[in-house]
Amino acid sequence: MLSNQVWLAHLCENSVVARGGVDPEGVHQVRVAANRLAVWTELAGRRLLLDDLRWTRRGVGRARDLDVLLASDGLDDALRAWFVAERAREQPALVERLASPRFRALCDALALVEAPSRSRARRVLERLRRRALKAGDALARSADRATDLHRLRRRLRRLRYAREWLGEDTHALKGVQDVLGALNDRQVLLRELASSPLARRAMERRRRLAEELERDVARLIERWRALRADVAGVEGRG
Amino acid sequence: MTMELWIVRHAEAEERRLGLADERRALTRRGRRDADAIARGLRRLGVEIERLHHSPLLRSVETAERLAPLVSGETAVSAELARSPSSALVREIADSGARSLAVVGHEPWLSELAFWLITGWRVDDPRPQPEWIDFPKSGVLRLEGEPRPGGMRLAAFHDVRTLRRVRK
Repeated sequence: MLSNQVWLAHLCENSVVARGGVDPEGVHQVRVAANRLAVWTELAGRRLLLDDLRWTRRGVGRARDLDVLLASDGLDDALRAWFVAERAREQPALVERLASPRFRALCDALALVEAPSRSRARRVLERLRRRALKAGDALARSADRATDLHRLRRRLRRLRYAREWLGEDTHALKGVQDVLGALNDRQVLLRELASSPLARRAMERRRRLAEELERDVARLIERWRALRADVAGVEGRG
Repeated sequence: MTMELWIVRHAEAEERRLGLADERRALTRRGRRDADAIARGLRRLGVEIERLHHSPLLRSVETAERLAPLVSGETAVSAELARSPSSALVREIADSGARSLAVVGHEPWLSELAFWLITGWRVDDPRPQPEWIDFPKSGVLRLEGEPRPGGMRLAAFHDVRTLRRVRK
């Protein structure tokens, strides 16, 4: 049986840090723990509590995106000030969510439900592997690359966490995820720039970012055949 | 806003015993069979549930899990379903925005909730309690109307035996 105790404790402890609003790591770790526990729930073949975990992740999602942007280089003063203000606006809703009876009930329920068996988890893992490969293969012929890139990133993350729950090596998979993570950071910056009052002033920067993003996605597609083996893992290499 | 409220009592769970915390009592084999029968019966009746709220206690989670395939929208865990019904629970039901909501929980609180929504009577009410049916494990009540005290009416009651008899 795969116990969730460590990650459940991680979720609860970091929800307190996130509510404090001082250390951005708390928000990050809430999102990571909620993602890992969602994969754990999937490995058990359960549907219940997945929506509550998604609700938790969404509650901290934009705050985390803004924390990442604020930690990056190359923001001018006006843009930094805008992101700082936006991040401050996110905090009350984040605190309300992580202090809510629903969040506490989620933690209570996660502590009670039965852990998945290894044999069931392995069957689910195989399905997650196939879905991740399918998403990567679809990217080359995609008409909506932003959406499909996001889908691939999500599926790879679930595959990696599923392998980690089963104690498997995920070194190669992390490499693929790093590439996609950098692309995602650019997408987030583009989106936040576009919705900020500085959107017009940052037109040139947005154009450059969009071009870089397009180029990097094209590179990723070229490299997909090589990366595919890392995603497939040992059993998929034949 | 009028809605359809499905009130579902959890299926048979392990007996209370020393060393087993109440919240950890899981469904028995019969309980799992009954919960599957509720889901099957409701599906055969053509029931569509938009949202499902359930208590965090294990027997309720396990019952709700079996109803999850009937749910077209979200499920949510609710601490309000593991205690005597409060205004917060009635607000949660009304604010769900669902035209069809299922709640899975425990006795005597589910009966108290149904009473309150149908008659406006609460356990702390000095007036005598109106007559009420026995609400067995795996029982299902369907209420219709406005989700406020006294705003709903009892539209149907199903026990697991009748739900088992529903044919395709």
